[in-house]
Amino acid sequence: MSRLRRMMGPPAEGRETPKPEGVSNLPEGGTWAAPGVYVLETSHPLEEPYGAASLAGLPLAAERLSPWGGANPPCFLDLETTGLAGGTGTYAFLAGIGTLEGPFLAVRQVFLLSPSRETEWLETVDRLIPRRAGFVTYNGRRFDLPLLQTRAILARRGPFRPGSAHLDLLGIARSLWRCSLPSCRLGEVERSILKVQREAEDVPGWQIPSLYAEFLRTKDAAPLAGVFLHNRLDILSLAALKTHLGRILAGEIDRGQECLLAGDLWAARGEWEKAVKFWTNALEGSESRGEALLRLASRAKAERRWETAVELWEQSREACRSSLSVLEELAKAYEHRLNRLEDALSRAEEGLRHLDSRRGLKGVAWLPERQAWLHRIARLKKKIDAQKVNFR
Amino acid sequence: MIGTVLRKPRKKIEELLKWIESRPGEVAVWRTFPPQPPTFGTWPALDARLMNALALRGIQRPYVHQAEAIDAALRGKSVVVVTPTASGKTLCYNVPVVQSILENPASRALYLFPTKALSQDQLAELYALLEAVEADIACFTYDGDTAPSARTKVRTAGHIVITNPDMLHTGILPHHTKWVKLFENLRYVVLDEMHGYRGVFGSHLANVIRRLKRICAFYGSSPTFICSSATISNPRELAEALLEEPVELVTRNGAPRDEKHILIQNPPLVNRSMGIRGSSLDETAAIATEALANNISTIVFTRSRTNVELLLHRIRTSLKARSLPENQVAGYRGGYLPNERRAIEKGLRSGQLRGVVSTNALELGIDIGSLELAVLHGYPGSIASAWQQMGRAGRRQGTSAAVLVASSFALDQFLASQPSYFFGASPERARVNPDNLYILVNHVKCAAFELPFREKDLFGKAEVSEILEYLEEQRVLHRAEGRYHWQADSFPAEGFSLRSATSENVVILDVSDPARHTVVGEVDRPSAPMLVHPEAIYFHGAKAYQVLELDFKGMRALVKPVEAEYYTDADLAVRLEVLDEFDHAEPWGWGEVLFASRPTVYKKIRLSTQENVGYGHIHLDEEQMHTTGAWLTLPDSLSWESWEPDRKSSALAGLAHLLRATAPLFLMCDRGDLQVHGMVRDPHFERPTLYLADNFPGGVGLAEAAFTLRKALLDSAWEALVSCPCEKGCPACVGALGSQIGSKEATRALLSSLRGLPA
Repeated sequence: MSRLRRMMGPPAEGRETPKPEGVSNLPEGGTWAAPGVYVLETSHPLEEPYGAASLAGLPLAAERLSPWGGANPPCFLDLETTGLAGGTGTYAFLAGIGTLEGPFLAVRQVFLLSPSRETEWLETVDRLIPRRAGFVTYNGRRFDLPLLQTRAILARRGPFRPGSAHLDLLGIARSLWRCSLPSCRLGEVERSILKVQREAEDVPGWQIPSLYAEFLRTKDAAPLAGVFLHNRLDILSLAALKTHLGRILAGEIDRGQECLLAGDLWAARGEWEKAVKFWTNALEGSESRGEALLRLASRAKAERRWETAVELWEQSREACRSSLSVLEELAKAYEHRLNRLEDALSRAEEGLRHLDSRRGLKGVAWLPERQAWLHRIARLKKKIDAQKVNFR
Repeated sequence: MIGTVLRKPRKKIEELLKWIESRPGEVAVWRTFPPQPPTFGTWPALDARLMNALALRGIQRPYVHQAEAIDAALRGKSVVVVTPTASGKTLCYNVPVVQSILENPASRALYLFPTKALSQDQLAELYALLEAVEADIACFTYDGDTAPSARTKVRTAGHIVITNPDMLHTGILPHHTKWVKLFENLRYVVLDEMHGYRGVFGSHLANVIRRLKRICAFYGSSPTFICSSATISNPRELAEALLEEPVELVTRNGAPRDEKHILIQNPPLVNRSMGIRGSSLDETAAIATEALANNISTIVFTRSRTNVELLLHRIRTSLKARSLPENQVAGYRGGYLPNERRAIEKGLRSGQLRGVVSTNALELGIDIGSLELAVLHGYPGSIASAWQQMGRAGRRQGTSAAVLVASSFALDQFLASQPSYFFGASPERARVNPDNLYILVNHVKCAAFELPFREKDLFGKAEVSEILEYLEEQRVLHRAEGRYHWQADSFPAEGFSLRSATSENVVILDVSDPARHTVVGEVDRPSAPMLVHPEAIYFHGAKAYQVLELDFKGMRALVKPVEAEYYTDADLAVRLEVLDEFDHAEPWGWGEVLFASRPTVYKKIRLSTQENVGYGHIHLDEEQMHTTGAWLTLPDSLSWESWEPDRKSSALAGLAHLLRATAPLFLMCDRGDLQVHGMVRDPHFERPTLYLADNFPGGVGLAEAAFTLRKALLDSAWEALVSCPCEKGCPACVGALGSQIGSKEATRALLSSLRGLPA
């Protein structure tokens, strides 16, 4: 039989495999993919609301997030594991796999009934992930995928889906909300950004390893109902988050601060046109205006559009408290690029006053910085005098 | 280069030795080792690039031990090379390793060095060879200091990975799936300074090797081990205990050496009848001072941290009295903070420091340049250690000398009177107990975390099915279809340290400024009750502190600086109980014992005169430990019943004192690793009984070795007793109280009748 399976492929999906002795209270409606591997499938219409967000824009998000690895047909992936310690002693017992099927998000949950069936479990997970799919995860780059690699090596299966595209939403979420949220854990983002309230039956993540260990001993799966739910909600949140991020990066949501940071994300990808568009939109927000001006100014500087750059820096001084670095940029640009020496001198003198007012904060850096400003002022004065002489 | 700067005209050192000879006391032994020419072997068939590189490095032919070791390793035989310091042992492993990589670029090697500092030195040497080979061979150090960004590269691209046992234990084995390339292609494992892997550390290491081999087997590799060791009596036995496979032994040393003098200096007898000698501490300080005053670079080794401070204080005071700069000599020991240590090492290398007083912390290959003179304040506890410390002088060319100043301890006096133990074949046996239950269970957990166990699987040679069942009960493992899977949400390798039974340290805090407590140093948990009990005097940096409070919960000792004219020495009350007997051969036996101890009183001992100037009580709880012990029950045939009770107890105490001193010579352990106690009325045997117990939870093999070597133990105790020149007993034989209670005679009577028994 094993030789046949090896040569002719694994048993077909959905074929009846006897239920292992004694396991009770598994969630109803699932099928046995292999001995010891139970698959529960649910389907979620994209039109259904999900918190304040929705999955409706999910098909569009692929294109919008393609610079970050989101172009492939998505496979949302989240693992429930026997621990967070990492290393070779942690394994996964539940994989949530979400795929886009027409107007539905299909969620397949692959449950491992015993660590002795891990090879079959890995085979099933592999089979349920469509070819060409790109993974969409939350911290999957550091946790879920290395863990699957480790398990595949231990099962002597070779690398797990090598070379697959992978969009890890954690990186984008951090860029956008690092400063505004107490943490960027999925639960926090879900609550604060997607406005999703988890159901009461959901279990907190830290309880999951011990619930599974308990199941292994008792064979009673009833306490795991909350874990299945938790995992399914994680997949839905991943999909909703991807949709939401797609909308932010398409400019459909223009809250000032997010707009500014979305511009940064585009800039990091070298998409300057888009970045400038987002920063320009961020000028509308009162919190984000100052930072947006600075970014636009440094972009203008990079493009050597000096008049624009100077104008933006000057505006930034009204939008937020003028900083030493802006004064320095202005003094340099006026002096070297625009030959407006009087303006350069006035910014330099202001810079010196500014520096002296912050002497206490600067510590040992104060003296050398002051020398530099004094030097600049002296040079400007000399240049101005020379010009006056020439003028005469 | 530094060597040339430091090397003074040869006369100086020889004059110094003559000066030592002219002092009161006696030079018990003066051996001159003449320069010895090299003995060469021939290279096996090697890659031309490697041959060229060796020639470029000035190595035309291998010494005979190198040739033998290289040949064995290339044939795929695990090998242990026994060599003294500076005999070119690194070539023994670098050549086969580089050869194997040149033959097959996929081939990998793992180097294990016991300390981090040592591996830095070896790395420099290896790099030089690799540069000369001009092949693409990548070599990396992987330890706690390796930057996370560099780690991926080390895992996949490193042909040679240099690490230490601790990092292998916590950082590599539990993550083996990230090291697939290494484990699939692991050809050689190098175990340097193998003799250091004994006792607790060795017992742990043997289990780390079991885990390593298990993982190698999973990936289909089976590495050859290349071990190097200092001279001990059982290198093959130790290697085979650590590796659990047969090894070839290479002992013939072909390296040349320069002239070297070795002296054993005995301070003068100040009281012949009581066998009391002058202070070895004074003698050591005097020799070191004289050497430094003559600008001879000097390293002084002493056994205890307290003695480092005492010697440093003496030497500095004497230098100052001679109007010489006192800061040309520094102290070096555990408990000094890492940055203090690095500064001292640097000072020694640059020659800015001319002298150092150290514990064995400097014994291993930390690079401090070459020194002209090594002075050993007392026998360092093992012969291998003594040779390594003596090797600290004159590692490069030039005449050098080492002086062992014998202390009044029995073993020192024994070696001074019976130097054949020292210069002849080493009697030292290094022991490990890989199946120590505490150690084994911890490593079975780690191994199960790394790869599931099948029922009936052995772990190395250990039968572990009961442990697996136990761990299943503990809900750490889950059994399914005949396999045990790790099921806990924890990382077992981080739960314990390879270096000690307990990994905790007690931090010593100076609280004299209530606003700012400062860390003075630290002391390991087991030594704390003896060293930092309330009212104890603790020395650090030649400054005295008095302990105000010992807080075990918070793992800290609160101290204040004081001007103390004395130091403290605590007495321990002990109790032993036999729990299980493993073997017996009348009147001896060995098995599992309970060892309970409590420090009761401390003595105040005047710094300048060593006299007892008072005492105090210590109020701490009893501590209990399950360990292994060997015992000697005194048989009825001794006609012991007719003895006075006092005579019985003094004989037993005298024998315990002798064994405490001489047994470490055979068991290759520190005095503190062994608990030797006599009980006149033993509740278990109902007869007077003497115990030798491992001072480690679970035991590390010392009790079993004592049982095996029982005849040699009694013989050496006898030799120590009869060679001692005192009349009624002294610290060098039956103990300090000997002369007052006349225990020498009683002990002698006891020992002679014991030795008259069939062994």
